[in-house]
Amino acid sequence: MSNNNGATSADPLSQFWTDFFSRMGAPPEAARMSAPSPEASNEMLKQMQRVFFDAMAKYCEDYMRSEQFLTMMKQTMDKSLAFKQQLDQFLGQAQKGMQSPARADIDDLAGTLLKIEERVLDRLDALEMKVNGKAAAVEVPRRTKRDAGASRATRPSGRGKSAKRK
Amino acid sequence: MSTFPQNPFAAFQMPQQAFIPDFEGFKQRMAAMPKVMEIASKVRVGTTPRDVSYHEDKLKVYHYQSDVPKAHRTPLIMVFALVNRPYILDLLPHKSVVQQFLKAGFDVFMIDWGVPSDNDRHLTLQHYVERYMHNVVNHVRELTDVDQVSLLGYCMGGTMSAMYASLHPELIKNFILMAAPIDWSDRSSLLCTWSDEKWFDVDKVVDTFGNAPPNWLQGSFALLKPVSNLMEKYIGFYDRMTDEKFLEDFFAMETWVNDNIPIAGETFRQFVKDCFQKNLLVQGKVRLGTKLIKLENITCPILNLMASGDHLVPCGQSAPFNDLVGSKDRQAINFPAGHIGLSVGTRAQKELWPKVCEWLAKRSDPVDD
Repeated sequence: MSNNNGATSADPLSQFWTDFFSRMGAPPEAARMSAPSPEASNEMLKQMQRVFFDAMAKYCEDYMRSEQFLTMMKQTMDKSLAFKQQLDQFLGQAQKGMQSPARADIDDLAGTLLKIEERVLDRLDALEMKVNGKAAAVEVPRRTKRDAGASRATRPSGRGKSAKRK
Repeated sequence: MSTFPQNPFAAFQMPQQAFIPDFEGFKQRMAAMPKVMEIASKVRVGTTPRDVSYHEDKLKVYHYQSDVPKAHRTPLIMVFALVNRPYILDLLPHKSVVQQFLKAGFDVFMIDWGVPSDNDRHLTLQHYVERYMHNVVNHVRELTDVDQVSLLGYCMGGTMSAMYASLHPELIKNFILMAAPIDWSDRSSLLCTWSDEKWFDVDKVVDTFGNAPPNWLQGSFALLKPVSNLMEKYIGFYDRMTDEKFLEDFFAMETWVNDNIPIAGETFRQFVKDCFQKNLLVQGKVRLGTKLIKLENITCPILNLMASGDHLVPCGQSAPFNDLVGSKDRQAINFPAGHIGLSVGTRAQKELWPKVCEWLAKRSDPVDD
């Protein structure tokens, strides 16, 4: 079960061994035989392995939900991200010094292009609606049911390429 | 006076030979190594014949070919998550959801989102759902000459498909949700604990890395089940190294598991914040551009597939979907499998997918004679 209430590290560890040994103390009937066959021995080994892994999995799950692990995870991530940011900043400044674009500059450019594209598409949508409105007003032949449901459908942003149209 | 605890191993009364290393078995496995290497190098995934019928930026739409005559006019579009690659739905010929639908006479399409580059970090959920998905749906409608399509969304692809279906209900004939998270009030998965606002600052990650790095994602997923993914899997591999059929499946699966891709930064930020941390989808507060996602807008027939042993998306995150939509025809199947076993598991292939095909066939338009 979840253990988020600040339990000490000894708790899940002792739970793991307690669990493991309690399971080991209750082997299947086949394992109690005094002179097991090689197949039964193999079966017993598999059973021991299974029990060990089950107990281990439960221990890991509990540990990875514990406050101790989560705090450690957060601190490690914060520190490695801070280091990466410092490194990026340093490299960015070095590239600026060499008058060459850094990754941040390319990112900004890509973002700007995307926004321009969105504005153009929105404008096209607005124009399409206007044209449709005018067309309806002059009572052009009625559109088919499919066209009516399409909205932007008939114009897939003008970006994609369909095999059919090639 | 204290006594020694009873030796827990004593009950086993293990014979000595049980602990003698199995040199014979080891020799057999070493002898099989060339074959293992050969199978590993020859493994081919996603082998069902297909055409690329549409592409836009990095996105591709696969149109699958089949000798089986089409029995249903309504095409099916499969939408996979932005994490990993979509060929898990067509992993091997005997582990292929795609082939199940083809054999049942469906016209099958699949979206491959492609691998986002650093420049794609600005792509948001709105771009994926309102632009790419919408264009794909319209392309398929145009190509197959139908008004409506059926959608199958897997994992995060299911969440995105639900968003799309709520925005364009008139275009969706049937909707199959497959191990897809919808309601994050169920916090039982380890992923939810880790992504909690208290422990995980998604802004810092995206601002630093741009896109969510694939190695980091893969490591996190492996760590969700460390014993199974890092120990048991390899012991199982050693045990069955001489079984060629097992090796083929094993390496196909490993190919997919290790084929991780980044997630576009802004999409990752929005998905973690709005869904994992604030659970806005069920509250009708997720916004794509100017549009609010209202799940009650979905009125088509719904089939909600859940895996009872799913450690990534517990059933509690998928089950509420059926109560949130406006559909009258809605069903749920809770199948005994894991998150990936739901698609590639032997039992799922034999028992679950024929049922799903049957469900979809009843609700799809038949081919005109």
